[in-house]
Amino acid sequence: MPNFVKVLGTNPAFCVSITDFVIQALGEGRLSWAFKELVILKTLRTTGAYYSYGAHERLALELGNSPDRIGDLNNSVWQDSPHFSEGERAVFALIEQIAEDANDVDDQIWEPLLQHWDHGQVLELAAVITTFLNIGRMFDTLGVSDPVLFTKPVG
Amino acid sequence: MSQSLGRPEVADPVTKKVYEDAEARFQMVLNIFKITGNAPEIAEKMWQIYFDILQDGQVSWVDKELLILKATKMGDCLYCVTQHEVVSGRLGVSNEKQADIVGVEYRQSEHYTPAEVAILDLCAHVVRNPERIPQDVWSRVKEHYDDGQIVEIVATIGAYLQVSKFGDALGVELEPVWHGHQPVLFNAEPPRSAAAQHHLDHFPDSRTELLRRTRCPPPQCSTRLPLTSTRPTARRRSSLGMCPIS
Repeated sequence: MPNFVKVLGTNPAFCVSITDFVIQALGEGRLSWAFKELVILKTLRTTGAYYSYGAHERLALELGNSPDRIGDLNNSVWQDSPHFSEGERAVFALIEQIAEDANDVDDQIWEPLLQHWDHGQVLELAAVITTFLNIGRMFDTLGVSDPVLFTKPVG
Repeated sequence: MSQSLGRPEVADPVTKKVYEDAEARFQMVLNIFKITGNAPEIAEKMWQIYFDILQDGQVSWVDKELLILKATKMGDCLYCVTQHEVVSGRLGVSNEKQADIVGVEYRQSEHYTPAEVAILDLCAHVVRNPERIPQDVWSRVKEHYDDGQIVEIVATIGAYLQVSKFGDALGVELEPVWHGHQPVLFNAEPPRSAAAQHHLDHFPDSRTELLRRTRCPPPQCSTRLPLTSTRPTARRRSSLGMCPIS
């Protein structure tokens, strides 16, 4: 059981709704789980969050992402990395903009995004990005240690 | 991508349920719920968190509204702030008390209790940097709230950081029903984000004054706890489509 669930256990109503949503987000969806793990890692890095980074790095690897894809998420390296598609780069630009100022997601970000992803996928992306922005803030605040997620291989 | 207003009558059952729940709770289907139909399996789970927050729980709804106003004001989310000024007012939070939530005004305000000051201080630190929350802040919070309440406090702050960025990023516009509302927090302190200012078009009576105040030099704005940088922006704006309707 992830540590965050144990912490939330002092407040059952919130434990249920938050855990339900995280379970929905972590799995195959309109986006592949493998790519969502890169989205999560990029979000945690961009917002300076520590909680769960190690667990999601391991998950990202197990789901088939190469070490290069994980390493090249760093700061602006993704912009020129040969390990990402144009669609993936459009998502990383969105993450950085949401972290900086979500009011300012302009057409320079929207247009490439919508060339590669449909509306349902964009909603899932925004949900995953902002959820992990929340999770990083929440569990770093509460001092929750990195969880040991998925003790069996998931790939 | 152009925005198209959806109607509450929707095809898929999950979205229909979200609309029914939203209407039951808020007497209307807010625009942010109208994007549900783009990915109902995701959005429905997300909204449940907010349905849980917006009521009395281990923490009073009023305390949670103060946290919501503080967190979303720091994020320059005019959509959230406008709606929660109205909700807070309906729960008995006066305009004077709301206005004192900006910057650190609440610390000296006669409208705030030490418990409220403690959780607003915590909120400001969570928004800015959860790695550097002073021990004094934790001590004061723990004088007034137990562990379950602290989880609810922090979850409320985090959830509203989340939904404010979610809605702003997806271009969710303020519903016309709020357009006559006189801003309280943004009259007390204008948004820092240049990109947020297009929302002020909804408040024509306040716009001139707000824009004048926005240009005040940094010393006059010194009580503000900055969250985001401002930078010139190419004009927006696409938005995620409102719910596809049958």
